[in-house]
Amino acid sequence: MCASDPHAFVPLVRRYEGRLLAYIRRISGFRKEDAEDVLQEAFLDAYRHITDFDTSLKFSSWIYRIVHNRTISVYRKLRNRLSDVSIDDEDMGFERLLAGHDQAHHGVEGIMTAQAVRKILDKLPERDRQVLVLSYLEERSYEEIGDILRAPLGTIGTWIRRAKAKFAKAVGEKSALI
Amino acid sequence: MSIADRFEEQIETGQLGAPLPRWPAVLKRWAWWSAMAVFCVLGIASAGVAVWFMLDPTDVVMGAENSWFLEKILQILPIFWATVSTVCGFVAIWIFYRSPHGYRHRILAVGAVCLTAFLCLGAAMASAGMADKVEEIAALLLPPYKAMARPQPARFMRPEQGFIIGNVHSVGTSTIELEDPEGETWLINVSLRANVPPTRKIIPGSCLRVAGRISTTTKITQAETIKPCPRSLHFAPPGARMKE
Repeated sequence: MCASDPHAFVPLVRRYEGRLLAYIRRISGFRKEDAEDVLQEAFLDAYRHITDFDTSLKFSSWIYRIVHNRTISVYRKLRNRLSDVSIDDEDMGFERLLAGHDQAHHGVEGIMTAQAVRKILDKLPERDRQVLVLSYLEERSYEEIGDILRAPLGTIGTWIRRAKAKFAKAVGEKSALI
Repeated sequence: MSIADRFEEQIETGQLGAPLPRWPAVLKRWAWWSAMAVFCVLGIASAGVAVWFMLDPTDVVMGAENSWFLEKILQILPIFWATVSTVCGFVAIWIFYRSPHGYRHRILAVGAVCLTAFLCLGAAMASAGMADKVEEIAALLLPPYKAMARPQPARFMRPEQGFIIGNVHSVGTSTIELEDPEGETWLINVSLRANVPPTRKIIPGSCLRVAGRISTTTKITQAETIKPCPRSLHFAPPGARMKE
């Protein structure tokens, strides 16, 4: 459809741009302007390769995968130059992530700020951060995460379990300091 | 201005251009799956030849050589074909993983399926009598392949240890004249107690292995076991194999 009528792509961009922008910032810590540049390039990629879209996938999984790959590619290039992470103060997703960890959440409610959670996330290995963001902040199913990260379901389960354990440990250490 | 608005503007001004055409993507997908099919076929064919070699009745030599079990296995294991099959298997798995949905499967499961399929289909191919054809094609396309098989007859020609190999020169009522790879003629006495495969016919020109009591001076052999030439001598002298 988009191949014959470029205008048909615009509603898709409009529908996904907000949540994809948040996703880019959550996994990379980019400033809003940088995240917008990455997203625009990713949408351009998606538009150019729309004929390559695999109809057995959800469109959201496909567009998330493109955005994810581009973000990671830019993130790896800029990682050393990023002095500090930036988060959207309105982003309630980080609280959801904290609430998803009963052990970690217990006793730290109201003490941990989104900024603190963001910093813990940023200290986790790249893979752990990605699966936690996709699972808790983006609320994607295991199957969708598998499609976005190109990994089998069982592997996704294992990654999430390990990432949760690391996150809970890090939150525990952080709250002990507080 | 949102990204969607910027997109709309670029469309209006004609800056966005058209998406890439569909055919390169379709062609790429076809090429991808075709490459995988080619490697699977090559892998199965190689596994078939490897199985065919491994099922070769080599007990005459092995009995006479009195070698250690692993050594025997290594001697009969067709390393070349097993290697070709393994390489093809790895390439096929790699291609599968790079395909649109390949990532959904665990590598161990894919590896196990690939190994099982290669062995089962290869064994089926070998039992259908296609493995020797594959070997003939390989010898035709790869000249060094024949050279690899050549040093083998020496291994089977050890009269002092009680076994010889050669082409049948003539067949009598209870004797066979056998010409060894050096051109020497041996007289084989075949008694009723000699172990001759019942399903095979010994005819002039066929290649035989004989184990028994051998006199290296008179060149007369009291045969105890007669077997067709090993499959690894398919392209090496002496000559053709025993006819089925």
